[in-house]
Amino acid sequence: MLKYILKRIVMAIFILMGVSMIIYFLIRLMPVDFIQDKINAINQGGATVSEETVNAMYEMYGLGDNSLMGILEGYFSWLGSLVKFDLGTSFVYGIPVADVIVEHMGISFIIALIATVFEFLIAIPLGITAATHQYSFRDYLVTILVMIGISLPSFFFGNMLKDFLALKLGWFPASGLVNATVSYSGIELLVDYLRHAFIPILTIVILSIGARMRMTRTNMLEVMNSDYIRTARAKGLKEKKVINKHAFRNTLIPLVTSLAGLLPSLFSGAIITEQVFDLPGIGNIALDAMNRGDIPFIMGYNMFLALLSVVGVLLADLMYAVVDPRVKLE
Amino acid sequence: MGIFNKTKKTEKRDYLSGKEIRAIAKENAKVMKRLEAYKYRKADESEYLTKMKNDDNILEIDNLHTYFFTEQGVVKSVNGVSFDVPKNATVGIVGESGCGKSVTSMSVMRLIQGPTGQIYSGEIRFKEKDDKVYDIAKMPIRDIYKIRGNEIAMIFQEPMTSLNPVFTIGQQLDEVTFIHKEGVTKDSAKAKSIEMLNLVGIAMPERVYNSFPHELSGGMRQRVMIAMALASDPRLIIADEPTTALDVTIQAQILDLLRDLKSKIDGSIMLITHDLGVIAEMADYVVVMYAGRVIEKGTVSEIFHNPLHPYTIGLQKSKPTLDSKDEELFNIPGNVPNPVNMPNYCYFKERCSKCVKKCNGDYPEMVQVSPTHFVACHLYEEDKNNG
Repeated sequence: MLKYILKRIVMAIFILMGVSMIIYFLIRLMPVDFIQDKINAINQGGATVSEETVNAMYEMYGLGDNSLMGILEGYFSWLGSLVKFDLGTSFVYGIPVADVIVEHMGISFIIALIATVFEFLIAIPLGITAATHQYSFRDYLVTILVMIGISLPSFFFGNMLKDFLALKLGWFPASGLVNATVSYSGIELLVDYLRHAFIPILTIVILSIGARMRMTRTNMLEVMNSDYIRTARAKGLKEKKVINKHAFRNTLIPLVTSLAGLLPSLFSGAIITEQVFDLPGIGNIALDAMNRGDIPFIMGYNMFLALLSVVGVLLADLMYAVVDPRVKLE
Repeated sequence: MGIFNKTKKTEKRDYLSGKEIRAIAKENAKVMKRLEAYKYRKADESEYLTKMKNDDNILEIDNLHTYFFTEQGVVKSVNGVSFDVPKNATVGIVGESGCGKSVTSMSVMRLIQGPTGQIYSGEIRFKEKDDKVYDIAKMPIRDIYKIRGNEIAMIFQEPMTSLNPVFTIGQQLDEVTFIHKEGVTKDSAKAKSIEMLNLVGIAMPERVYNSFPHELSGGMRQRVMIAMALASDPRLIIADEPTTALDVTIQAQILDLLRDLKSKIDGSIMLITHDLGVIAEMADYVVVMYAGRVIEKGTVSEIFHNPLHPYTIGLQKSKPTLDSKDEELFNIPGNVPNPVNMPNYCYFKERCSKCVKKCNGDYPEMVQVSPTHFVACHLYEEDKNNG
């Protein structure tokens, strides 16, 4: 087991190297130029910047040489500081990338965590009833509702909910994370946070239930038709116990492993939803960084997600061994 | 020739029109709704208490009809089956695939999966431990747990997939004791499970108790299945092709085990198989089924030494023997008729080599040729009239 994990970690290092190289080259090929934008801004302010200063700036940010060798050099200097656990300094914010990520990740993580918990709590029972009452009115109703959920684009549905719940009914604040006019503390502050996060979470939950429910339904149907369920019934077990113990325990196998695969999405932030509700989450920041060519931040953010993906996949494999006695990791 | 003429006349095309499908669906929905409501109703015990015709029987199946309501029409998988299982006897049910053997046994367990599969009519009388007689076919599903797994246990044909892969053998065995016995503790359930594993001849019961199903061989798993069936001390064991998926040496061991156990548990066995050799070795009585009906039944020596129905004779001939010099194995020509559109004459007529004029008439009645031997064939009706 330990040997297996070590082997996977060594493999992960090579995967991450490859990922970072691809991301870095792609960013350098992107048609955004942080320096040019900055100079344009200065020019608009009325001042002029000399050619020499511009070149110096390019040199300072390490973006001077756009040939293959120059990009390679930039990549290895980034890699060199990464080895020293230094993700570099964000162009836009002027503070270390790690600090920017830590500062904005919390809110995204909490929203994603709450949304994921509700997603599972709602989708799994729905999937099970749909499967155990296959082709009944209940099955069709659940399936149609979640299909509507899957089909709605988040910017549209998020704005719809915002318009209805916040602007028309006024039950929840429309955007942001804190009430700017009142300063709360303690419990009240927490309640205020939750009130602000409610509509974004609702949006994410409704949009993500569908896929999870379909997955549960499919797995459950497959399990319910298997021979060991017939055996469980023949033993004299009540139908409820057959479903909740014998069938559910087997349906759980793919669900638990898919949970491990969710790890990166917990931290990545919901880019569009955060935009719609103007939340200072990491998704919002990442999109902004992309538009402004903040290379160190984009690298740091994407490498963080790549790392989480690799860890997630490893966790999923380990989870298999935990929940399915037939799987042995060698 | 007959086959061709018939298909041309009755089926101009081999598909159903949308209108026909809708008509079938509507009709099916009506019947299924009624039967489902009947199945899930609450009922007083007196409603399904009944009397045995013969007190020496433990199970009497009387004119059982089990139908499947499909999109193509009603499939009458079991279409008027009647036979008895006497106390302490082994009754073998033989027939080719799809003749309704398994559906009959599943009907007895009430394991037919609704809403499409339903017991349409008929009686399944079962004598309980305290000599109460229940009509299983009329029992509401909420009361079936008194009998299912407790008084009647079942062994399935697929030992490789019939055990839940995520629970240990011990967990799955203990469960049976927990369901059916009162005042069971963890230790007493384990003791019972180990005892059962010993009974079915498992060498290291403690180790198997803690194993997962995938760690055992097919033969071991089938032994575990049998142990599971025995754990509730049932009075009737239904073995649905218990040896089909096993290799020949293990088959012999499992059959020996079943025979031993019958005397130990003082119960009856209903053995479903398509292997005539198994029947000859195990059974006291034989029921031969064809296309959802019983076509011949009798004691094992009657069926093997004096088979009467042309189908039974054909089955006997198609059994491989060591001293046969023929190059090819005999087979009965033709196929079972389409289960949705059963003809109204003898179902075996198209494949029968001994047809007489009468065979064009109604489906033959059961004819009694000896106190225990019955056959449903027009050939023997005259005998009855003369005698």
